Amino acid sequence: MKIKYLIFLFLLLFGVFFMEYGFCAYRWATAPQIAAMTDRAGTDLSTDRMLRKATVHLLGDKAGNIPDTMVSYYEKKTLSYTLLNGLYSYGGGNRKAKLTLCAPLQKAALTALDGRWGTVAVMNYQTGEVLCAVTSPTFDPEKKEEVVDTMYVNRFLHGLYTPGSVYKIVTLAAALEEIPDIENRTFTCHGAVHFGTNRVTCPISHGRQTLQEAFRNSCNCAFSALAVQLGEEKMTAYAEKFGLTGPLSFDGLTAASGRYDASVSLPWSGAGQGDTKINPCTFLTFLSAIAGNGQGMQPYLMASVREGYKIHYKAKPTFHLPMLSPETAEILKTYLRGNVEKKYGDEYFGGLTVCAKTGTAEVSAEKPNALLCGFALDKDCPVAFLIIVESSGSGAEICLPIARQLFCNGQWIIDN
Amino acid sequence: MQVLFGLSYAFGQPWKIAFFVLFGFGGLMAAAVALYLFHSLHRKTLLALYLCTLGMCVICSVCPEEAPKQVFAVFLGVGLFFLIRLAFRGQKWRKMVGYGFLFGGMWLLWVTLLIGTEVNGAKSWLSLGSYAFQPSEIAKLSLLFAGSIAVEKGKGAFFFLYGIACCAFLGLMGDFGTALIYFAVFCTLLFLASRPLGVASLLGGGIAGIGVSQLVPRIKGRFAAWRHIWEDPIGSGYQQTRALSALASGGLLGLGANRGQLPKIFSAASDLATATLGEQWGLFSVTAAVAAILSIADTKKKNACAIGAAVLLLTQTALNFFGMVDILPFTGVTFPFLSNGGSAMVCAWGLLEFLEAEDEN
Repeated sequence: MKIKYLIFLFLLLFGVFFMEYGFCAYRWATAPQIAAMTDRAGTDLSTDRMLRKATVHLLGDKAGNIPDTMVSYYEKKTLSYTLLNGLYSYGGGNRKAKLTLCAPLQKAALTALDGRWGTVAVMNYQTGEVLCAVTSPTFDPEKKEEVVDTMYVNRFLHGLYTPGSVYKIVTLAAALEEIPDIENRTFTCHGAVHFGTNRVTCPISHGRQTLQEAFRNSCNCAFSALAVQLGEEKMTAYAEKFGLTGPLSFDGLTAASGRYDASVSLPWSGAGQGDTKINPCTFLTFLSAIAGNGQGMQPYLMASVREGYKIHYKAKPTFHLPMLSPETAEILKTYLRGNVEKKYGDEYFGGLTVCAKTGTAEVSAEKPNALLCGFALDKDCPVAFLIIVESSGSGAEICLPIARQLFCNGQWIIDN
Repeated sequence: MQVLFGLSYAFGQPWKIAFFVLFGFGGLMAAAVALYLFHSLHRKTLLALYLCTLGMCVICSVCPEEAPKQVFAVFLGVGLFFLIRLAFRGQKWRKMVGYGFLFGGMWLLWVTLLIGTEVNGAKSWLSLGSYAFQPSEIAKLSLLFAGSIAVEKGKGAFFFLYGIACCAFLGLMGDFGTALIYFAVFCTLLFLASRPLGVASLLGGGIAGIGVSQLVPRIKGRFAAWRHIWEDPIGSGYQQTRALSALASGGLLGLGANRGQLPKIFSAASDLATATLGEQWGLFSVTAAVAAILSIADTKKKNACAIGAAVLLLTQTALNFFGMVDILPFTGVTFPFLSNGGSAMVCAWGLLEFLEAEDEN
C-alpha cells in the first residue's frame, strides 16, 4: 500500500513535467539556436567580449532586454518545430547564420566611441549590406553588468537625432531638384540674416560664396534662405521622398521614422536645427542613394542561414526608393568630395576617396551632438557611413578622429 | 526490437563503432535468452531488459566504445539476480549473503572514503587498474539487507547507526545525491522497524539536509540554479537547459537514431540519458521508460527488502529525471537500467530480485 502512494506522488510530479513540456517545448527547442551567428567572414560573434558588446543591440541578450531582434524573426522562418516531430527537419546539422557585419570594424567602432553615447554605422551602398551598426553605451550579454539609462536602446535603428548641418545635404538636394539653375547663384553672408522674426546666424561672416562654397562653409544664412525659398511644403515633401520619414523595415526590424519639422523655425530647419529629427538607419539609405546614382538600397543584416549544404535563406540586394535624379546625385558627390579635399582632409580616411559632411547640432544639453556622414567613391570599397556622438562637441572635432580610427586601420577594407 | 535498434545504430557508422553497437545489442539478446532459459522472463525482467535496450541505444549514440562494458555489467547483474534468488531460498545462505553484504558494504564505503578517486566533485569511485566502479551502488544492497534484518529482528538501533554511518560516509565523499537516496530508503525502513527512531531520523536528516544545502557550495549552487536554469544557460544551468532543449527538439516521436545535439554534451549517457533518449526517440519513449520503472517498483511483496527496493528505485528515478527537467534540483544520480554505469546496472538487477514476487508472471 505504501508504494502506491509513492508511485502516485511520482506521477504527480511527472504530470507537472508534462504540463511544462506542453507550454515550453517550443522555447526549449529553439533556445540553443542563438549561439550560431557569425559575421561576414565567419567569425563567431559570441566568443569575443568586445564583439559581443558591439553586436548585442542587434542580436539581443538571453534575458530579452533588447526587444526587437533579428534572431526571433529568423527563428520563426527557418525552424520548423511541431509538437509531434520536434525539430525533425532540422536534422541535427549545424545551423549557421551569417550576418553582413564585419567583426573587426564593429570592434574598431566600439573602441573609437570609447563609452560615449552615440552610434557608428557603415553600409555597402551598392548591395545594402550593413557592415557596422554599433550602439554605445553597451553591455556584455554574458556578464551581469550595470545598466546605464537607455542602454538597451538600439541607437542605429531607433535613435532620433537633431541633424544639424548634415541636414544641409537634404536641403541642398531638394534645392538642386527643385530650383532651376541654382548652381550658378551666389550667396552673400554677412554673419546674420533676418526672415521676419527669425534670426539666423553664422559663426563667422562668410562673404560672397557660390553654392558649393556655401555648402563647404556650412553657411547657415545661405541654407536658411534656401529653406525659405523652397517653403515648408516642399521641404516636407522632399524629406519624405528621401525616405527620411520612414517607414523602413528589413530582416524583421523596423527603423524609427524621422521627421521634418519647420514649426519652430522654417529658416533654421534648412540648417537642420529645430524639431527636425533623423534616424541613423534611414539617413544612411539616403546617403547610399547619393552614392549610388539616385536610387537607395534597402539595408540588410542577415546574409544567409545555412545548414550544411542546405540554404535556408539567402539575402538579395533590394532597391529601396528612387530618391534623386542621377544628375543631382553627381552634383552632390562633387560637393561632398570637395568638402573632404579642401576642408577636412583626406588623411582621415585612409587611402579612400571619401565625400563627407560634418554636423554640429545644438541640443538642449550643454554640448551639441557631433555628426559626420559620407561615403567612399572607391569601386572596391563602396561604403556609406554615419557617425553620431551625443552631447560631445563639434562634428569635425569629435567625429573626424573616429573616422580616422575606422578607416586608417584598413584591414577590413581590403577584406571587404 | 533489439535487432531493429542495433541495426539502426550500426548503420552508416565506421566499422569499429558498428562492431561495438552490434556487440552491445547482441549481448543484451544473449542475456534475454539466458533469462528465458532459466524461466525468469517475467514482467519485471522484461521491463528491465527493455530499459537496458533503451540504455544501449543511448550508449551507442554517445559512447559506443562503452557498450561491451555495459553488456558485461548486465551479465553481472543478471548473475547477481540469480544469486540473490538462491539466497532467498535457503535460510543459511541467506544469512551468509546477508551479513556478507552488510559488512562488505560498510567496508567498501569506508575504503572509498579513504582511497577513492574523485570524479566531478564526488569522491565515490574506486579504481582497480583501468576499471573504476562505484561501491556506493553495491552498498545500496547492503543497506537493504541491513534494513530487513532490523525490521525482522527488531534491531532498530543498530540499523539506525548503520544508516547514519552510510549517509555520513557518502556525505563526506561528496556524493550527496546518493546520500539522499540512501536516506530515503533508510527512513522508510526505519519507520517499519521502529516508529520513534524513524521520526528522529527524519528530523535529523531534515536538519542535516538544510545544513548541507547552505554550507556546501556545490549543493548551494544547485539549489540556487533550481527553477532558474535559463538565467545561466552557460554556467550552472548548462546540463538542464541542454537536456530540455534536446527533449523538446525530439518532439513526440524523436529525431531518429544517432541524430541530435545532446550526445556531444558531457554526461549525456548518464545523468541526461533520458534526454538523449527523448531527443532521438521522442517523448513517447521517455514516458515509456518512466512507466517501466513505475511498473517495476509496483511490487506485491510486503517485506522490508521489497519496500526498501521500491523506494530506492523510485527515489533514484525521481531525482534523476526531475532533476534533469528542473522540477527538482539537479543531482548526479543515474536512471536505473538506462544510464551508462556498470555498478549501477549490477545493483539495479539485484534490486529487481527483491521486487519480484513469486506470483507475478
